[in-house]
Amino acid sequence: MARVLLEHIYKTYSGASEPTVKDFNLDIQDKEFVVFVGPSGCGKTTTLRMIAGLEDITDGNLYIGERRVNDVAPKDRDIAMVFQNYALYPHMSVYQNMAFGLKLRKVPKAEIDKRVQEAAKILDIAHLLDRKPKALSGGQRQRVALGRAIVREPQVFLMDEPLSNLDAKLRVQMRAEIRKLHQRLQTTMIYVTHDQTEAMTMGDRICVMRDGIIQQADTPQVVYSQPKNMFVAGFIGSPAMNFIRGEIVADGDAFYFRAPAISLRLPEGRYGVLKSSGVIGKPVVLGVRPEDLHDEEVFMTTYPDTVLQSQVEVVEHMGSELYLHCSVGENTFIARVNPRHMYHVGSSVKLAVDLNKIHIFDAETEVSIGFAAPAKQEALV
Amino acid sequence: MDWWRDALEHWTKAFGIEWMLVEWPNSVPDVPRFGWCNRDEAWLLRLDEGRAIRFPNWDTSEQVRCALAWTLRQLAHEQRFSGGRPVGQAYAGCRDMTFAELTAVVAGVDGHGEPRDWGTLAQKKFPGYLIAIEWTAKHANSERQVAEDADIARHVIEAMFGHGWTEFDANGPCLLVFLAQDDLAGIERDGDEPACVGDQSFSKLLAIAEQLAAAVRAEAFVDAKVWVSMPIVSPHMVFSALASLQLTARMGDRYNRTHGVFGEDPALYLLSIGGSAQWKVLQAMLTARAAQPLRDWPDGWRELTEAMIKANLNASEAARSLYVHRNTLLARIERLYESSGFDVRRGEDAIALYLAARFMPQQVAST
Repeated sequence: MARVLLEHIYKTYSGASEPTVKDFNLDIQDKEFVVFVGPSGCGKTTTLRMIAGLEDITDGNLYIGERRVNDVAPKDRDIAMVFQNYALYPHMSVYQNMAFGLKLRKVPKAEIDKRVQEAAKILDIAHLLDRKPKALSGGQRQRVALGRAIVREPQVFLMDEPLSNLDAKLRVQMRAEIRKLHQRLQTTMIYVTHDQTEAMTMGDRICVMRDGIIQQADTPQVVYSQPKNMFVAGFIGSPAMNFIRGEIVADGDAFYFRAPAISLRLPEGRYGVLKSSGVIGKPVVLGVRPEDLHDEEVFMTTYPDTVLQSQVEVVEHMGSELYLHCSVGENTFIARVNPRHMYHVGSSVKLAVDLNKIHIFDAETEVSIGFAAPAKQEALV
Repeated sequence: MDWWRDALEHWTKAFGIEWMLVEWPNSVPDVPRFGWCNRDEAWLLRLDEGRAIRFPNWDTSEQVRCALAWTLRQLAHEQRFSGGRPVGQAYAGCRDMTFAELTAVVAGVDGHGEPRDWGTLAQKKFPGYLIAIEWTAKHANSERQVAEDADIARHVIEAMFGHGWTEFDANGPCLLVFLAQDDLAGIERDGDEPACVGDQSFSKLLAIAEQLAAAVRAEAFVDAKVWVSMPIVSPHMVFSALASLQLTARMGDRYNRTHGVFGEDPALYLLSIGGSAQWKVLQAMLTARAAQPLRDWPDGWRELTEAMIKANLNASEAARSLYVHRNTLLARIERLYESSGFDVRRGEDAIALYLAARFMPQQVAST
């Protein structure tokens, strides 16, 4: 079990004009499950590889536990890696597959047996130990692949998109399995994915990266409800957050967000944020998540100033919800509404914006001004 | 017919050179069989005690000459494919060849012709493939450590295929593996089975390369890269296969890949064979209709183009793969069109942008 500390980490490949990873600072606590997420080329895998020791660190300090490991060989870092498409050895039984790495390291036979049996129990595959990979289901194979890492009893697990090659159904199942596994093993896990749903559902904390820089590192709840910039806001959440370009205008005592064909009176409680951020009279981007656009009558009656008269362009039935692709003037957006309501392409629809949930970003820097109120969490038990 | 003639004709055709059978000059007694000497501004390759092949007007590198000698030596059963370290040494020689020389070696040998009595070479079940597992030994440069890593890689091979011919070259370090086509039948891969038989084998090779790279990385904790050669139909193709491995490795390294199979990315190969003049012209062509120079095209245009190509130019699917709203993607496509003059929603434009995207990483930084 170990804390992993990354201090001002840089990675510059030879011949490259710019670092691939820039000033990466993150303190991963013992037993924490941290997910690195971001689009291709954002530096998440490079960072993981630096932790593993497969890449040299150009600058900065990396600690695993109390030890600075910048110059420690990968095999001496006490880590285990799980990769995408790390297939099982077809000619070996499940037991032999799990014991393989330990055998190579000349671990005594009795110790190998103890570790394999324990891992098999944790993964609920003890009854499969004599089977060959061909006789296993997809989920069972993935569990065996995880078992190979578990038997090493490492301080830190490093997982590089381990579920990317699985079909959607198995991926969802394995997400939960890995999460449960983390709770049972109580070991530090660092997980890389480009899939924001995976990140949101698995991580204690998620670290959103772009162009080698951490954009935001926080709990999934905070990253979703208080994104620090437009990139995080657009990357986390599906369908993505809607963005509308406009400006903040003072009119009498009130402040409005105005864009072509849109005028929204902003809540008084947030005027302080508007004034202190200096965005009044300046171009901004308003962000609103699809679920914060409402078609319920009661909402529109209560908040008549927040209603947008829009045109339906596309209707997507998702079963448990309905996505309406709408337009207001030049602006288009997606609303997630009640699937029992009927809509037709070309018809007009009234949608009320939940102004307590909107986000405002500086149009130039794309940084959030902190308009969204912190999400309240209520304990049910 | 002489045993060496087929192979020699393949080679000489590939390099566009003439050859003639001559007597070995008695005045040069110390050259071993399949050794070279230069006489009267022409290279002579000693075939046996009394005969030599003369190559007038052939000005080539030592590596290419060694490659030809190596191939003929193999065919003469002087060295065994299954013994010593001849294949590894030959592969090491490939590393010193130019891209054009490798290309010529690969191009010169076709897959036709009936395998004859190839001695121990025939014990390998042809057709098959050569696989190179290469790694960089960080933090552990001792010979012992490298040998231990190779041993782990060898165990991974046995675990994966149940058996296998391997040869270790410490200079890479590199472990070479021979995989018979028949052995592919026992390999499983995820996803739907392609309908085309050739594609079935190819996609299995891709899966093997990816799995091997991941397995060696996880077991040996080394940064393993795995390359797979062109198919080897008969033993006279072995050197060409090594050259094809090296071509695949160079293209993979250029794009920071961990694994690759010869033939995986023909477009990348096309982009790798041009010289600086060709690149300048290509760049001029790509920017002929652009309002802005390449370096000022919008950020992320390469990712956008690759996403559109992978999504068969379907904007909704591409938007999903990039985790952006479809409208955001459409706005980016428009911005790219305004800068470049290419609309990635159109097939021909998408191909041009794709080439530009592949060409960019190496070339445009300096423009």
